[in-house]
Amino acid sequence: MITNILLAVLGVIAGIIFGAIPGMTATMAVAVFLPMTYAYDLVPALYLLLGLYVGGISGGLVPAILINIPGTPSSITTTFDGYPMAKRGEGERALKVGIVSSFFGGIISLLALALFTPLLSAAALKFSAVEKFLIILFALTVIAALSNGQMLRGVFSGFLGVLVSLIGMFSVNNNYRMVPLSLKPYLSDGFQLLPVLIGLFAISQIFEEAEEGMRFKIEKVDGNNSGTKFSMADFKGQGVNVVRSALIGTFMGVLPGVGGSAASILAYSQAKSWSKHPELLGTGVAEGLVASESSNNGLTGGAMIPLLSLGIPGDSTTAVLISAFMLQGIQVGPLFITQNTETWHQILIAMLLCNIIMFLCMFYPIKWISKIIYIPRQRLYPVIIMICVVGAYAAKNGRMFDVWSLLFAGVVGYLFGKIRIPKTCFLIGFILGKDLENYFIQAVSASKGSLLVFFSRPIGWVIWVLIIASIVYAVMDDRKQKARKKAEAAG
Amino acid sequence: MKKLLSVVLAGAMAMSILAGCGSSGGIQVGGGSSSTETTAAAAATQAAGSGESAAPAASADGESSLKGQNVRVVIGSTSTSGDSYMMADVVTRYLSKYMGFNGKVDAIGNAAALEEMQTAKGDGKTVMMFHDMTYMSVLFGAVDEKYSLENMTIGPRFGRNPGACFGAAKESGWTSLKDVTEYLKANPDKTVSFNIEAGGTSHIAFAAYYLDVKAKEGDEVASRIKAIVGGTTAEKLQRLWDRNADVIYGDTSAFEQYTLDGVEAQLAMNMFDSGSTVEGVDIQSMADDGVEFNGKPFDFPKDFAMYFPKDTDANVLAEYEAAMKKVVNDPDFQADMKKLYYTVLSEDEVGLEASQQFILDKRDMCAEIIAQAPNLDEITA
Repeated sequence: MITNILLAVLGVIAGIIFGAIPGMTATMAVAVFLPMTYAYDLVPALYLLLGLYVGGISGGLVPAILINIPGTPSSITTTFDGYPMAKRGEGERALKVGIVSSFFGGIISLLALALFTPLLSAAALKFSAVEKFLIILFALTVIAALSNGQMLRGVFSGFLGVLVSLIGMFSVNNNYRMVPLSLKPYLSDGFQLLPVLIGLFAISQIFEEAEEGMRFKIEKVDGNNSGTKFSMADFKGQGVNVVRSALIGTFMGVLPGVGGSAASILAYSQAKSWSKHPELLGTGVAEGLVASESSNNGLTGGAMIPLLSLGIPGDSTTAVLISAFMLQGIQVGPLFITQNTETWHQILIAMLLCNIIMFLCMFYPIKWISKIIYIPRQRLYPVIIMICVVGAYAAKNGRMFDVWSLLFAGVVGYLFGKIRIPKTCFLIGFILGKDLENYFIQAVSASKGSLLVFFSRPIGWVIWVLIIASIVYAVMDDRKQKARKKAEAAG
Repeated sequence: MKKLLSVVLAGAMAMSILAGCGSSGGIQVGGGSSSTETTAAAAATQAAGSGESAAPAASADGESSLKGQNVRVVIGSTSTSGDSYMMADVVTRYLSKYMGFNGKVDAIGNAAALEEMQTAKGDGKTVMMFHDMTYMSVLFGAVDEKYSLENMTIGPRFGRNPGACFGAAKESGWTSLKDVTEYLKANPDKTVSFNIEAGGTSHIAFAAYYLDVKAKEGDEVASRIKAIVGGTTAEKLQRLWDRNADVIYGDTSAFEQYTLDGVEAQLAMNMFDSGSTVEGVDIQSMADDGVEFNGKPFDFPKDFAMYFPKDTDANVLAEYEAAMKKVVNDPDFQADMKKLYYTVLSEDEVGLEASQQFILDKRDMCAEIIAQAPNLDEITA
C-alpha cells in the first residue's frame, strides 16, 4: 500500500507540473509515464497513472490564473475570472478557490463513478450522434454569452474558429479542405489545438506587452497581498454552482468523444446563465472560477465511466489509459466490473487518494507558487516563450510546423486584439468545430440525409429547449450590456 | 533574490525541455536519453516488454555504423496505442539492442511520415515503420503520387497483424460474411451498411467482399451492400450500438469482449471473417469463408515493413537486414510479438529482396482491387 501511495504522490506531482506547463497536458503526462508502468502490476500502475490524470487536469489552473495562459485546453474558462482576480492582487485567493473547486469537482465525479456507473453508462448509450451534436451546439451558445456586448463580432469570431478547425483532410472522402498544396503533409489533421491555444493566449499577449514596452521593475499588482484573502466564505452561495458544474463535467466525460474543454465551456456558460449577477462573470469573480474548475475535474470520474463499463474511452487521456489495461491483459468493457471487483475497488480508492493528494500538494504550497507573479516580465517572458515553443513542438511528437503555427496564432491573436475581435470566441469555435461537424455528419448519414433526425427524439427536444433558452438569454443580456455601456458613456 | 530567480527560471526551462522531449509516445530507447523520465520509462518498457527473460539492455550493445547514434522511427499513425505504434516500439527496442543505436518512435501520422521519407537523408537515421497504408494511401489518391514506393526504398519487413475482422450485432444472427450475403439474397428490399475507413485496410477488405458478392451473386445483390465511411474503432462501435451501421471492421482484440456471454443486448456482437488466420482466437478468416479475389482465396493481413529515403546507403540497409534477421530469431522478441497476437516472420521473409518483392506484389494486388472496387461516392449509405 505504501508503494501505491508513493506512486500516487509521484503521479500527482508530475501531473501538476505537466498541467502547469503551457502545451503539456494530462494526456501527455500519462503517455510519457505509461511505459514505466510495464514493470508494475496493474494496481500500482493505476495509482501512478490516475495520479498523473488528476494532477494533469488540476495543474492547468496555475498558469491560467497567474499569467492568463490556460495550462491545458480544459482550463480555458479558468482564465476568464482567474486572471482578472490575480491582476487585482488576489492571485493566491483565486488559486485556492480553483484548487478547492477542483477537489470538490473530483470528489463529486468520483461519487458518480462509484454509485451510478451502470446507470450513467446506459445513459451514454442513449446519446447517439444526434444528441452529441446538439450538446456541442449547446456548448457553442456560450460564444454569445462571452461576447460582452459585441455579439456580432463574437459570433463572427466563433464561426471563424469553426471554419479554421475544419482545415485538413476530410476523413469521409480523404480530400483536403482549405489546405495549400505545399502544406499538405502537415495539415492532414488540421492545426493542432495546443499551438493555436497557446499562440492565441500567450504569444499574442507577449506581443501586446512588447508593443507597450517592458517595465523594468516588478509590477505593483501581486499574487497575494493587496487583495481579499481566501476563505471558505468564497463558496457561500456556490453550492449549486459547484454541484451543477461538477455534474456537467462528469456527464460530458461520460459521453465518449466529447472533449474535456467542452465541459468547462458548458459549465461556465450555465454558471453565467443562472447567476444573479451575470454581468460580473469575466471580471474576476469566484463564481466563474468555481464553475470552470469544478467541471474540468468533474471530467476525471466521468471519463472513467465509459472506459470501464463500455470499453470506450471518455476522453483523450483515458484513451491512453486503456493501453495500461491492455498491457496487463485486462479487457475493460461491459464485464470488467463484475469480473474484476477487486481492481474496480482499487480504482475508486486510487481516485479518492489522488484527489486528496492533489489538494494537499497544491493548496498549501500555493503561497510560493503564486510568487511567479513577482518575477519581472523581462525575465519571465523569455522563459514562457521557450516553454510554449517546446510545448508546441511536442504537440505532435516533434514537428517544427507546430512551432510556426504557434507563432502564426500569436500574430493572429495580436491582430484580433487590434480590430477588437474576441479571440476567446474564436478559440471556442476552433475547439468545438471538429466535433460539431463529425457528429452532424454521423447523424445525417445515419438518417440518409434527413435533417429531421435532429428533432426526432425526446432527449433531443430537451437539448433544443436549452439551446433556444441559452440564445434568448444571451441576446437579452447583450442588449442589457449595450444599454448599460451607453448609459455609462452618457453619464 | 536575483540568483534565486535565475535558478528557478533555468529549472523551469530545463523541466519544459525534458517534458517536451519525452512527450506523448516519444519513447527514448537505449542509452543517451535526454530525460531521466524517458530513460526510466524505456528501461521499464524493456524490463516488462520481454516478460521474465532478459530484456534488451538499456545501454545498446550491438554493432553497426549507427552505434551510439540517435535514430528517429516515424510511423504513419498518430495513435500511441494502436498496432502501428506497438509493433514499431517492440521492433525498435530490439533493433537498438542489435545495432547499438538509440531509437525513438514518433507517431507523426501518414502524410507527415511520407514527407519525412522525401526530405530525410539516406543515412539510416530516419526510418518509417508502417503497414500497407504506406502505399495504399497513394493508390487511393489520399496523398500525392510523389510519395509512391518508387520514391522510397523498401526495407525489411518486420511483422504482421492478422487480427482485423468484421463484426455485427449479435441480434442480427450473422456469424459470417456468407450469412450477410444470404440475408441480402433472401431480402431483396433490404440493404446492409458496412462502416469502413476510406483508404484503409478495411476499405480493401470491404472492396474484396463486395467484388466477391458481385462475381458470385450478381450486381443486384452487390448493389445493396452500402458503405458508411470514417470513424475510429470507438465511433464504429457506437454506430453499431446505435444501429446506424450493420457491420463494422476493426481489431479482434477490440471486439472480443463484446462477444462474451453476459454482455447486454445492445452491446453484444459477433465477430467474423478476419483478414487472415489469427492464432489463439476462434474466428474464421475471409479466405476460410470462401471470399475470393481473381479466383484465389482472399487473404489480407496487415503487413508491416521499414521504409527509407530513396538514396539510402546500401551498407546501412544491409545492416538493418542483418539485424532484423537476428531480431526475428530472438525468443524474447517472438514472445513479445505473440503476446500482442502479432505474427513473427521468418528469417527469409525479412530479407531485403524478399521483403521488397513481397510489398511490390501486394501493392499490385491492392491496385487491382482498387481498380475494380466500387466508387465509395456511389455506394455510400
